[in-house]
Amino acid sequence: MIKSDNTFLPDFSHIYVESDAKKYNLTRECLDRFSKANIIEISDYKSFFNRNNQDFQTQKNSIKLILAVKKPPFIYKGTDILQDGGFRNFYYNTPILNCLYNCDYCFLQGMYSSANIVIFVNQKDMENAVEKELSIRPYPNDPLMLSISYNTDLMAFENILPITRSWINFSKNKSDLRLEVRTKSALFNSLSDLTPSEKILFSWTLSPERVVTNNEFNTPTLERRISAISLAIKKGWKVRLCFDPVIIYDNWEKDYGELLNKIIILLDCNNIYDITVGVFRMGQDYFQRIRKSNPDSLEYYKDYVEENKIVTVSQDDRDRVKTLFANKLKDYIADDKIHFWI
Amino acid sequence: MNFLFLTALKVEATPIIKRFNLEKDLKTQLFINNNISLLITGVGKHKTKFRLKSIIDLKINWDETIIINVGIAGGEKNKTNIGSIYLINKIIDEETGKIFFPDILIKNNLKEISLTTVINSVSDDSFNYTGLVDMEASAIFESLSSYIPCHRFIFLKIVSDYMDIKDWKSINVCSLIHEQIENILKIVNYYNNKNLSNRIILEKSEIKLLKKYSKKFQLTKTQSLQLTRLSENYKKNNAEINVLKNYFKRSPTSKQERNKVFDKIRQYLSS
Repeated sequence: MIKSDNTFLPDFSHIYVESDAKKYNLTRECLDRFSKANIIEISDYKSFFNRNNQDFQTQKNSIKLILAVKKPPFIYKGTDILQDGGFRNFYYNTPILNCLYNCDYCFLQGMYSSANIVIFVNQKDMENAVEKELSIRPYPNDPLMLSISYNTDLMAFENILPITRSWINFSKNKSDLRLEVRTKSALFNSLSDLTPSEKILFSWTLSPERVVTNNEFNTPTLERRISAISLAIKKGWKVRLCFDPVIIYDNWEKDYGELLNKIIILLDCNNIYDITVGVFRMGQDYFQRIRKSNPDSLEYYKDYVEENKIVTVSQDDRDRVKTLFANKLKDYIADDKIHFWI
Repeated sequence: MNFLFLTALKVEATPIIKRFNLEKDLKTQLFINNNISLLITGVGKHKTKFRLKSIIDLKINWDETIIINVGIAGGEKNKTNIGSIYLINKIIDEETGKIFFPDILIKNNLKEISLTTVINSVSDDSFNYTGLVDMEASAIFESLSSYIPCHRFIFLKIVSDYMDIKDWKSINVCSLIHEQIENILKIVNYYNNKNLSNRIILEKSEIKLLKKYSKKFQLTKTQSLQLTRLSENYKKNNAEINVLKNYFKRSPTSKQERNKVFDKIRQYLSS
């Protein structure tokens, strides 16, 4: 769904501000940035965000912003579904809930009843929680890997609020902290003045242009993403490439094959940290909730298999994905750098 | 889209009835003209809830209905102007403390403000309230929110007083609404947008048909659910599910036969 219906108000026409959030710098910064927005004071973000009878996809036409103060927990242990990349101390946090993009395969549609975006403005509380967890992490000899972009695409916000930058700066003097920034954004240039750090891992999701157009609504084009990745690698940042989910459709192998050819030509494969490959998979409850809401996407009306309450593509399709990526990449990327979540 | 106007008073309704040429349906008490209808709820939360309950079971297509509450309201002297129309973005129920938020997604030319719904009319303590004050909005939202999503509620309030009125008869309500009728019409035009209707896959008639088939074939609960799910998939990918009628022409004589036919249906819908 592209935002072509101009009868809708622009995104962030309204900002809902928790009374307790008013005193924070991020709130002031945000309200200055959207000085024409209607400001509505609320006592608790949940009274707006968790209302009954909201329509996620209709709200996507005019996303509202909610500024709130996060209450504990400020940091969460990684789950089985979340890729830990081999880090035994793997955590995630939620500086923002929901996303500017509208990828049709995204679990957020099933997780939240609202498409509006919550920004937690008490960054310091989240930082303190990370510091505390660093000191009590279960494997003290291993670093703590924190995924900061789990329930959102944090870097997509960088021109609105520089939260990714804040986290990178925070990590500077924390020798045992690693950060993963998962993104489809092309806004890397807004961070390109920062000194590259071994501690930061930018994980870019890449898809063929057809998937970008048909499934990853409102995201940057493949070309822009590749340019951003290229710049990040040149500057010396660690970059992970994520082909996740690989979408199965007629001729998907041709499109993904061409995508991999393009990447081999355009990116310096020797300097890619690693690659992850996955297929569409989603918890049964989220899947059914999204399906029921009748999104425009056809992804929820295909034949899938259900394994341990996870809806996913057939074993045959998973094998084909694995074969394609293994064969295409074997001469360019070491085997141990390709991780399959299949 | 269908529009259901709700007003508390007959005098609030009169300019709307005239502008949209609405005629009273004696059976339902609704004033109707094509896709526009109007209900007079009476003053206060209790009357409003009672009147709304009476229309819930009417054959109203709630999937495509937009609720527009139009009425007068008290306003803060320094922040509002008498005669001005406002779009409400937050409703506080003074009695219960509940807060309701209509989703404002559509472009419009109105100023926005919050509203408190009170039990008794306010005539001497305006300083207690921010925004406007009325006596019905929270009841409307609460009564209909199971049927109408947040983005199809519109609350339009016209300031009639600064909460300092001693003689309510001194307010010319009809004239206040009449002065804003073109703004109300504009709102109807802005919201007349198919993208606001409910996102349904199977029409009510199709769901009814599937239920009929399930009963005729004495499908198991799992088979019935599968039939609905596969029909939804089929409709999303191929359009009409009329083709199913060929499979359900003759009732099966045994469970084995039923299962055999159901298997064929499953294969057809999955193809």
